[in-house]
Amino acid sequence: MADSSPHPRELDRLLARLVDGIATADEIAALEHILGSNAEARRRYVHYLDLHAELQQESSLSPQAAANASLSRDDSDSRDRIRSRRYRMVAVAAVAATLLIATGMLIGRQLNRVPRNNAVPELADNGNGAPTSKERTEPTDDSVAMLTQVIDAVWQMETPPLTGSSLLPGRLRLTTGTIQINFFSGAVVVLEGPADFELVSINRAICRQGRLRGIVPPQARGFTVVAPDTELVDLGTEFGMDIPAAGPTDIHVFNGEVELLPPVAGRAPNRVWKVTAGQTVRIDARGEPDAVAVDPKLFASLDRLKTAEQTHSQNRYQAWRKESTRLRDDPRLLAYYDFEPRTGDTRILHDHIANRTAADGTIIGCSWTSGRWPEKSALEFRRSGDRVRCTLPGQFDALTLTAWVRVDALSNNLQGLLLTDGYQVGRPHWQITGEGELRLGIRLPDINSSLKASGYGSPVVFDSRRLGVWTFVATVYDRRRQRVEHWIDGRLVAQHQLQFDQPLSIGLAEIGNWGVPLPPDRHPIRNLNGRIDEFSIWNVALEPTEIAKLFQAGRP
Amino acid sequence: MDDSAAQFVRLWTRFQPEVRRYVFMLVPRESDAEDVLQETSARLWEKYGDYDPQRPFVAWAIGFAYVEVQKWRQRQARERLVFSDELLAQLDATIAAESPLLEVRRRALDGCLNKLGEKERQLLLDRYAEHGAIKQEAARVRISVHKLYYAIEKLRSRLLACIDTTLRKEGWQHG
Repeated sequence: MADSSPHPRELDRLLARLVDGIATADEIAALEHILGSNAEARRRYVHYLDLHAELQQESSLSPQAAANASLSRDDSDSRDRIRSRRYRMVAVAAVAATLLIATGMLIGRQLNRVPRNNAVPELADNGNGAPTSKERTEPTDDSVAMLTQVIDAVWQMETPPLTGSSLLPGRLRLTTGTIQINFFSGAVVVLEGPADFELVSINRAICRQGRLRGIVPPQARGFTVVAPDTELVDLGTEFGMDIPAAGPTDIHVFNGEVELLPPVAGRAPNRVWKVTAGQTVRIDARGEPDAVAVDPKLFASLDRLKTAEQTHSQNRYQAWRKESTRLRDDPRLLAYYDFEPRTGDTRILHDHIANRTAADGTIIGCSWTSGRWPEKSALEFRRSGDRVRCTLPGQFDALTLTAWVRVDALSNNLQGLLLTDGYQVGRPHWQITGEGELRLGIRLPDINSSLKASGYGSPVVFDSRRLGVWTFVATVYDRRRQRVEHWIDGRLVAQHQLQFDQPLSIGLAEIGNWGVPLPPDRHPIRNLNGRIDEFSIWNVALEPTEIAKLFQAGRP
Repeated sequence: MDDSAAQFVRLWTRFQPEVRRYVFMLVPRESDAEDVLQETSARLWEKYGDYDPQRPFVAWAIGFAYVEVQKWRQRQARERLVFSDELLAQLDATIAAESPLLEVRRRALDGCLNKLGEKERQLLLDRYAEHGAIKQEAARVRISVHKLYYAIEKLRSRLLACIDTTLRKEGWQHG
């Protein structure tokens, strides 16, 4: 490269004059020339300007500086030139206020908004590194609701939905237990088994059997539940329905009102009935409601969901804690992060192995948030800088990596679970691909020229069904059995022969990101888009029963 | 509905400083950077309907900010105090490449500020608190304007060197 390498002092001087606002046209031209031809100078430029911005921020936060700024208040010249951070905050607030006012006029447009399938501009790497806006069509998602709570559920389904997952139109069969479904329209249904419930759209469902309570906010007005002998159209309210496997449906309106229609066959213009707050009706053989005394307590069991959920989560959390405390004595652990911050020390991710030098991690960026249960802490990774750096010395013939992770979105890029700095021989890269597969990549010694790296993938595990759902992932590397295994929620999903037999080491590494990518100097973004609330690294290949047990101990 | 406005304001208020930094790196004069930022926020709001909340907001916003920087640059084309389109594109790529490490660098800055002498640190912070009011500042500390600029320039270079060293010690490949 024909770099014109300037004297670093000369570059710094030009940069200083630039940020101090006193650079002449000639100096800007000189800078343009240096920067245009020298990548190292451009990095210096970025570092320099970022330092300048950061110092500006630091000084506006330091009390001394504030005092000095007020000293010069009489000086109109300097006052005009002071652009304190506070000034900017006011500006932000003003913009925000304007926008809020503007919304009033935009409501009409917003109503028709379909954010799911729109072309969005995005930063694309077009090869020479310059991002451009490009149009891209995003995959559509046909889900209509989300399964938000599940208590003691026994499903009568081959693949029952996961708590927290999106639900497509289709049938849910519940033998016992209680679940909560949040329709995307805003309507919420609490359903008690035995139940046969079919989601039709974001505002319509068919219930062939089950006891349910519907809570319908104004924006979901018109939410409809079809029962065998009636059709209930909600007018913004709260109601209960008891639909037995055989026999008449009972309906109780807690608040507001609902409309009842006979089954399709018996429809006629005059055959619509209103039921208002406090009323209880039973549908008779002709599909007409009769006022009857149905005990509203019939629906009381549904109220218990909230308390049941709390007790459930507290119990699960306590059980996990107990197991977690026991776990840390296991001598085969290399590192164990329980993601429970000690007070006053929230930038350290503590390694909780008993009786050994801890491999504490340093948290950079990230935010503390809730984990599998409201009581449990987790780290959220979202920005490209979010990461936890740690060091794990040693060389191993076997490794098991496990994590409780909630992937919230798949990006085009790989998402890091545990990536060693750079990509050196024998150092693992444990990550999730853009398609949602789990992948272990290991760089091979250069002698294997035909194959630079070995990669062990899994089938797609993070599909739309699993996004936003807490998942236990485990990957085993075992030289003795010459095997790599991927496990999801205690089940083996992929098994590979070793492509190349070599010991593994970790050294400097990052959880949730890639610290030091390969030269040249581009840093691909590999941050995780989601949360982690437990992470363990073992110097053995864990047995299937052990992995299953870890999953059982920690399942939400 | 109303929700989306509130949501946008929340996102924008939270991430605006990051977008601001980005714009400032391409348009290193504050009043100009403010103009570009203003245009960007208007554009973002117009296009907010297309925003997919699953995607990182900053990356989305920066795409628009870059377009606004280019537009601004075209309006300024006759002025010489402006970088060329080519350089803007190069710098944009450098920012993208460096951004993961910038947070690490900012963290290192604290330690490096503490390594400066008390007087030096104060001089630097005062200069930033005054924000460009170098003449007043020079008069206050009784040195020539030229000397004050030079002193600040030296301090910034020392801080950069210190940050580079810190990062190398922490095991980052690129100092």
